[in-house]
Amino acid sequence: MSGHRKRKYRHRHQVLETESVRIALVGQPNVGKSVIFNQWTGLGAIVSNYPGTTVEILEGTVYLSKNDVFSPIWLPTVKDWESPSEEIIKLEDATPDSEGDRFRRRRGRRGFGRHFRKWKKDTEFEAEKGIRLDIVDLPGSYTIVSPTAEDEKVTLRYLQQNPPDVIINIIDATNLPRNLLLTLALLEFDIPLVVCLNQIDLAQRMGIEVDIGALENLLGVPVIPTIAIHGKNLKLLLRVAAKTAISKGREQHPRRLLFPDGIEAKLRRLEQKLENMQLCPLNLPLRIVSQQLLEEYAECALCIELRHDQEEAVQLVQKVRDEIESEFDNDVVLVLGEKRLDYASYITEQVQKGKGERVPFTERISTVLTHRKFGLPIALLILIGSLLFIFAMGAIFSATIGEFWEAFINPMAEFLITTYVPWPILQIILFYGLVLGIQGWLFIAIPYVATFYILLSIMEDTGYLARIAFLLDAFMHRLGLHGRAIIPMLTGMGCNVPGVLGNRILNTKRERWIAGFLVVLVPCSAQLAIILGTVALYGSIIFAFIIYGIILSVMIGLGALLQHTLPGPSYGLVMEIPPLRAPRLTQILKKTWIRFREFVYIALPLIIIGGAILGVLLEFGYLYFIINPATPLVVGWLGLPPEAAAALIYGILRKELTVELLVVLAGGSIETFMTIRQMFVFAIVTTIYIPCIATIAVLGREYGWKYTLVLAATTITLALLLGGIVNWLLLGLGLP
Amino acid sequence: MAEYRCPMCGSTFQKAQASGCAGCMMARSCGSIACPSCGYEFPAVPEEA
Repeated sequence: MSGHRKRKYRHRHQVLETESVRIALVGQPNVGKSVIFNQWTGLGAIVSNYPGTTVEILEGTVYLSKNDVFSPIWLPTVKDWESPSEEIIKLEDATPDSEGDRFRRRRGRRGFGRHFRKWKKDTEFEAEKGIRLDIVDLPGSYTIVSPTAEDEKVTLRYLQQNPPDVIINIIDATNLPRNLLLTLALLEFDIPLVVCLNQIDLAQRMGIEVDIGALENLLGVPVIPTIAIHGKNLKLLLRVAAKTAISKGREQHPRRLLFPDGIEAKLRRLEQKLENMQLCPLNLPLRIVSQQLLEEYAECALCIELRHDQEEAVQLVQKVRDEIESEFDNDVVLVLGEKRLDYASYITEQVQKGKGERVPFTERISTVLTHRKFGLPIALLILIGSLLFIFAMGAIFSATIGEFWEAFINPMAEFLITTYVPWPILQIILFYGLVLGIQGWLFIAIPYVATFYILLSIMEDTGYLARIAFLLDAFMHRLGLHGRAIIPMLTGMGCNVPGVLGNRILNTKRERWIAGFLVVLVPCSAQLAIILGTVALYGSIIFAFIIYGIILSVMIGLGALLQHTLPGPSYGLVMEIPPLRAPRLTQILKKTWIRFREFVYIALPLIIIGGAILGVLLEFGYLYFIINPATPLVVGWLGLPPEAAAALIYGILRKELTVELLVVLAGGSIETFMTIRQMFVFAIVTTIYIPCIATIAVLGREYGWKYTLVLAATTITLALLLGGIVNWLLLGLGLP
Repeated sequence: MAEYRCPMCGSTFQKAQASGCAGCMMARSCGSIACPSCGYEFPAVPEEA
């Protein structure tokens, strides 16, 4: 048994009080929590929202035989990964997922029904004689003592209201100090704990060795090293967790953090006071309640304040807080956080050999890209470069498509339609709908939108988009938003609909309100095409930068106004940044196609129908009945051709339809229809005015129709006001 | 089972865990999924091994 710790993990009280055990998976984001959950439960997961929130919780069930639970377990060391013993291999082969794999392999060879029935029967038999384990995958949380994000609050609330029989805390072996912060918090709960040290293989590759036995001694709970992605030791983890739950953690001696420098005594004093007052309103250990009160965790403080005898407790909390703050000359939240991190770092020093100093080349590039001083200028250069690239590619493609269409398609289609189609109305429908409609679509969709999506996919695949989010965190705070708000904003660059939906991740209603206004102002791929395909193409790329500058100013102005109107705190961005890597062509092409295909399946039919309707109205003189009421505004104030009103109205369906219809109205070439000044005004108005119908529908569902109406009215007013001012300004400057 | 990796926060998840589709008129036919961890939406292209 060399290579194994010479210790059996056997509890003395093998009295099974229940046939069912509930296990909660708790860990920070990206530690492999969901991988473990999926390895165990496979397709059997039930996704449900935590009551009163949009945060989702996954639940699944697995069964373990009683033999698995009650037989002794030999715990492995890290070295076992290099030459796994037969016993470990045997254990891994018996994981529930492996059962499924074997079933799938059999199904492939011999057909479905018979083997499915046999497999199901085997599983049911196992279930009959085994112990049911209900696994709950709780949202990724960095902290649960005084959480700030909604998903962290849900994790805390779940542990309070539905305490599981055992918690499995999954920690990342490559980043022990940060992960141990959560472990230290979980040790404070009166719930048995098992620590899963995941990604041990990655840690070894980075030159990090973890002494599992030492870590177990320092924490006082079992630590199981795993490689979740390969399913290594997951069965073992499940067995240890089940044993711990059944023994109710009697074999555990969790070693909790004792705050140094007199803080511990102050905490104890507060704890004692709460205990004397029988003040434990949150079904939480008093030690956690004390820390929450000191850190002014709103939900905890509120419960205390609701009590009639709260005055004394509130005064004591304030006194202890003042003492700590004056002693350490810092905010109590920072002081406690620093002490927790110090202890986590101490544990790491004790158990970890090697510091993962092998810094890969990509990490060094990443450091430059996210540098405090150089990061933003580099990002600006890359974004300007991207815009120039899209513009150049768009100009080349649209010119080529335009020439080809004018030279071959138009004359041929005109000849065929006039020769073979006898009815004038059908001739108009075919010419405007098919010929000019498809020309307008090709003019916008492929050159600009597809190029933009290729670049977006490259930024995603390389991991640079995440770095832009990190760099723009500070900017978001100036708009009164959580750093997380940058994610819906970046999503909105592709399409505003997922951008609006993405606002769900924000913590407060106030932030979601502000972000809702700002996301619809982010120019989406269609609006980018409008800007580049009109004023930049026929005028200068400088105009495109000016329009982007104007929109950014509007966003900053509106953000500042909303922040002033709806004051409140904004929280920092805590997000894992994925490693930089080389983009893969197949992934980029697949992603580009998935994003682009709606321009084929939805936008193309719409422009063909719209073009046909517009052609009929135009040729029979009915168009002016529709656009005449808008003429004073469109022609008089905005200085646009009257027909632009029809394009603006139709553009509510999809923004890029505005330019595509302009191509139809202009008979193929926009520059014969509009001047540079008009294109500039048109691009500004279409970028800002009312969101497209899909965005409106989602806004209505997410925010309510009152909010959506206010937003629509605001954006229309803003677009008309700004468009008119720019028009008169450019006229004053003598731009035709 | 296919696994997806969020390009924004790097978290890996499976399609059943993806969020964000409720309320959207495309009703999952857009081919995109939203990361359950950070909410970023991206085309549902499984991670290559």
